[in-house]
Amino acid sequence: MLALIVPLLIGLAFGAILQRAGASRYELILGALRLENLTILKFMLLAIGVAAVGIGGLAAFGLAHFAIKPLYFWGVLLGGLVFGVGFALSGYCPGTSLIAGVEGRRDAWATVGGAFAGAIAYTLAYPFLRPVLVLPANLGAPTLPTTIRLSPTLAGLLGGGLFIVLAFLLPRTPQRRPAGRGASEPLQLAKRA
Amino acid sequence: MFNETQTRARPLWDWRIAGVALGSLMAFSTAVFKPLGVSTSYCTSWGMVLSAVAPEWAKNHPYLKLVGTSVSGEWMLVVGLILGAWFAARLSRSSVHAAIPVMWSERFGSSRLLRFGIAGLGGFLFLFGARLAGGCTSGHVLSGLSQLALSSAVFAVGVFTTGIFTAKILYRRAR
Repeated sequence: MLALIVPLLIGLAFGAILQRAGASRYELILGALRLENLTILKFMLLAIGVAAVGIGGLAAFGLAHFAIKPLYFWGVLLGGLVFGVGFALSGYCPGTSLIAGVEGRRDAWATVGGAFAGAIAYTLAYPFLRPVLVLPANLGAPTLPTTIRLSPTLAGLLGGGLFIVLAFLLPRTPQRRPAGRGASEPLQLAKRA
Repeated sequence: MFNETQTRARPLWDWRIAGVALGSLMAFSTAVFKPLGVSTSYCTSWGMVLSAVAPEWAKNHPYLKLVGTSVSGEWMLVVGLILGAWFAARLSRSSVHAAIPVMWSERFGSSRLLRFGIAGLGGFLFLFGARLAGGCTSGHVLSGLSQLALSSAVFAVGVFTTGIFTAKILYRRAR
């Protein structure tokens, strides 16, 4: 029972943070992909950096439950390329489409419907795709520390620090002057460059 | 249809506060559960339906064996995500009644058929791509990169290559 309640509570916080960050807003996702308003990208980089430092610290005490995804090169790359097109067309991703839906953005329910169709399409295609894209060129589950032979803790602190620095260095609105009027505009008004 | 900004709505969190909050949650989840992930649960939901409709077929299906056909921790995480977002939207009074995003309607007009069709196609593609790659924005980009996994770096490069390209093409005349 606890094994189901703990992830439920983590999910509650996850959904609330993404909603409050504005990750479920089409304008902020497309703003990032059009390279006009990078707020969501900065948010993601900072979260990755803070988590990497934290996970590095946990690893020092043997408390991190790593779940490294395997690198079957062509399947992962092709999956990412297909994902990017869907991400830009919808302005949502698998998690944020659900969030946008319950916020009252009805187009997001069309995206959720499409996602369920994509899920069953992949499930049915899997027996045929597996020998072509999943089994070949499988390089195991490498990470930066296993590749350059660094301790996971040190790599987490250094790599995480790098993500955090990058998050702060990245300009929020690259095509405007940083000190210009646009820099302090509310996000909702930043839709017109 | 376009009342995106509501006067009583609380402003979004500053990206720094939201980033530290999410990063801390991700580390916490890695300690007590496992790294966050969402896209698998779409297939697990199908697994639940199919194991009720065609139990023998579902039990032997190679992919459903991987993603499961019953309630899992990951599936509960997605239930939590939906509830958490609902509460956050209500408490911050940031719920909207919007059918079409403002940025979209300024570029492509107010046809719901067009927007819903493209939004649905996008969902189809991103879930198919996520399952092919083994994760999505949560499992690969956020969780994977925070574990410094190389497969997640490959996935992220793929996502932003076509994501930026597609967004630039969609809005090429708008600037």
